[in-house]
Amino acid sequence: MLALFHWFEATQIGIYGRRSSYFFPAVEVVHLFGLTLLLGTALVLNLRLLNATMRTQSIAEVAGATKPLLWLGATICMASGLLLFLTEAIKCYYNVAFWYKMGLLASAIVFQLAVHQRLRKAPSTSARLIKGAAAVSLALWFAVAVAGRAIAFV
Amino acid sequence: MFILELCRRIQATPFATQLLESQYAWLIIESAHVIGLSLSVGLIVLTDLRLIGGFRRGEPVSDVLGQLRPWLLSGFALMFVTGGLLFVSEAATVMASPWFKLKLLFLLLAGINAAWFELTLGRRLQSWSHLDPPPAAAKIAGWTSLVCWSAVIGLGRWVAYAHT
Repeated sequence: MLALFHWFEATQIGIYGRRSSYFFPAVEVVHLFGLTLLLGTALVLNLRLLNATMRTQSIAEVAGATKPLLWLGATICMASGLLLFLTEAIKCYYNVAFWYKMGLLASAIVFQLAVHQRLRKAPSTSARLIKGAAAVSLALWFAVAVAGRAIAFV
Repeated sequence: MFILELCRRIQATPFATQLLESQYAWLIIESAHVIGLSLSVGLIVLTDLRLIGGFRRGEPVSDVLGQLRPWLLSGFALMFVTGGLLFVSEAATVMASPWFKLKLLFLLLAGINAAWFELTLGRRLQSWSHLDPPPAAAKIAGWTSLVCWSAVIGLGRWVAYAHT
């Protein structure tokens, strides 16, 4: 595993990222833009499921409008996140927050695709179950962000 | 310069020193600031997109704005309180940074844009809320807000890099 991380760090992008003094902060700003879009839309979608906002609109309507933005935000985050990772792969390997973040990210994506969307679309799902799924989804996405921020601190 | 002197005094207060030297308080406040950003700016992006006509077109602008406003304002309160505390802890340091001054400028522009929107278009929301596409003035307000807030985020990140 460590050998793999050494290989990541030795990629052309990784080398370039470490040599340039603007690469990392510039990509980080893009990462923040993606985060804003991802968390903002996750918040609106899940608050709608919790009946806390946009009550005049159906869940399907709000989900239809937020879903493309949510995945756009997630894609921007993951693409820019990969670039950041390549410039400091070894540091990440020894960083406990990084591993928490990856675990939480995988959980958030799997939960969103496998549980959240299915529950929302199934006609017989109880309102309580949908609300539970919304709370879990919100908690997971915010935990990813918290763990990500913690990479710089631990 | 008066402002710089004031910032020096703020940074020299025992409260500011304690904040900066505390092991956890500063990290927690800083994290809350960055993640609270997604709460407030994320919702601003969605309302801006509605003004431009790129999100929930079928729903009246007044609905989207009214429904998201309480969440948006709570996000803002979090941003202002945490941002204020971060500023106090390093007032003179950041005030010396040109990036920070630019950030304040864009923050001010975003505020002026929002106030202008509220006082003009916001006053007669019902008369154009259903229009699709939205009026040009609403689109301009939406784009201005998007640009200003993107700049605030970018410059905010740059402040931290410039002085480390």
